[in-house]
Amino acid sequence: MPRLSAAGPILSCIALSVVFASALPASAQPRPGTPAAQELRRFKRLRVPPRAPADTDVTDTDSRRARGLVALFLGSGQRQRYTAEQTTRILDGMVQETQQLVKWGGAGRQRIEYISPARFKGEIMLINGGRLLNYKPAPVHKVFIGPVPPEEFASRVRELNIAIRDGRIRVALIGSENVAGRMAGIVEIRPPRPNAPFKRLWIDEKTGVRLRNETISPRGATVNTSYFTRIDYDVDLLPRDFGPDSLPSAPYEAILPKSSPLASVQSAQEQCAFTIREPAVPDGYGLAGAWVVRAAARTTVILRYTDGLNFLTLFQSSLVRRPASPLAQPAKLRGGVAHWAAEDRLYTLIGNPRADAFNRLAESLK
Amino acid sequence: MNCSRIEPKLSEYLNEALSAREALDVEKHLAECHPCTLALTELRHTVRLVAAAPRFELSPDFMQRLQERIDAAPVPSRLGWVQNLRQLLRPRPLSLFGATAACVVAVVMFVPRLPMVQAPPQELGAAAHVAAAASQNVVLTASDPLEDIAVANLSANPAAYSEPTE
Repeated sequence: MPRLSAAGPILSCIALSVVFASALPASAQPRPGTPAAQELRRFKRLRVPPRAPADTDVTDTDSRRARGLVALFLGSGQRQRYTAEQTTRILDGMVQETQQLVKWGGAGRQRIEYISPARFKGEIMLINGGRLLNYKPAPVHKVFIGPVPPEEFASRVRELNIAIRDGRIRVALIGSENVAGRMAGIVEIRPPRPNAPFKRLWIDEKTGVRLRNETISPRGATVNTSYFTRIDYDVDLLPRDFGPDSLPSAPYEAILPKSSPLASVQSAQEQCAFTIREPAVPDGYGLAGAWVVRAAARTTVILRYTDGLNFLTLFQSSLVRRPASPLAQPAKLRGGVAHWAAEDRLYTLIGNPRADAFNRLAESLK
Repeated sequence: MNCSRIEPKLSEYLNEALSAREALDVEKHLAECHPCTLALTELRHTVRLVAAAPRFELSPDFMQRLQERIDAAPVPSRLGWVQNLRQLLRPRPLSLFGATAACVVAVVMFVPRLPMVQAPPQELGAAAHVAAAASQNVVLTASDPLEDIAVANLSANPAAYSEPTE
């Protein structure tokens, strides 16, 4: 196995720092003097001490190329403008599919407009100005709005880069394939622990754009995927393509608070009248954030857990009426979603845990 | 916290205009007070009725005509304070309708409320809960470059979702 010189890791980290720093468009740069700006400056000055190469060091060519592709995806791939047609499928126990027109105006600017099936047709998702606006056509006829701060995105990019550098998230190049007329390297991204869902990305070798992605279950089955059937880089995208004015006129409804997520369940409990139940999450998962949301005079607590790559999100609210009798059927995960009632609580879980981990989680909430 | 302090806050609570602490106090009281819970339900019903009321389009010259009518209205003559006092205390014959309306209001306000047979607040269906959670999850996934918001948006399928059986 070839040995890596001491200069290799240093040069790689400098390159990643430059890529990261240039990935943020001007509109997403934090204002000078703000905590986010200070955080960004600290990261730019981050100096990684050189590591002595070891026999067990992950230095093979495929891993280096995989890291390079992921860095390209997280960097210039986010800035590349394009329009595309995309198909999205969920394949866990049932098959659901949608087709969309995608417009990508750079980091923090997206438009997804649904073409089919009929019940999604006309739905639009916009990301712009640090917000996500999701227009749902009739009978809902509303625009749901939530915060997507650029600094959160940048922070996540930084976390991923550090986790990949440290080997906590493992990446490997497993092949190449033509997707929508473009050559893509296929990168497998695995979380720290075994027997956990992982991801595959098909990354355009020239532009860094993600052309296809899959989530794979621990047993090796694809549970969901999105892929481009057509992509066009030579496009003129207008600012109004991403503006709220481009949405049909409809009432707005905020679905998440603008404030940052709470760091602990205890902080959430201070804002909630009912006792928050904490689930037994799979090994390796930790709390990524908590939210307390009030809508229609109902309080919902959101607990979001991550293993560094995958997320489990539990929504719980108190029932107005207790169920008359215990549930006739246990909670069941289908298509990455489970919804059930237990005692005086209503739960929704979104994620892809293993079946046994999900059962333990549901049991812990009884 | 007693009902007299909670009831004035119910409207703001419904509009989510209270601070987190105040909302928590209201919710704690509602968990133990049936009359206030009923009052909130009635308020919510009233809001829905008003929201569903027909809207009327104003003509473009509405404000101008209104201003003209205000300008054309006779200016009341200024009376001395004695005349104002006499005007205020002058007995006025009550119309039959007015008297009836006053009696109805008095009965409603002062006769103890009979227990109302009221349907308990309705639970949202499973599909609505899942759709709300899915919408929130889409926002949360949008901050992660490795996540797919199109998958997150497809994750819930209200048309195919079954209610948890009791």
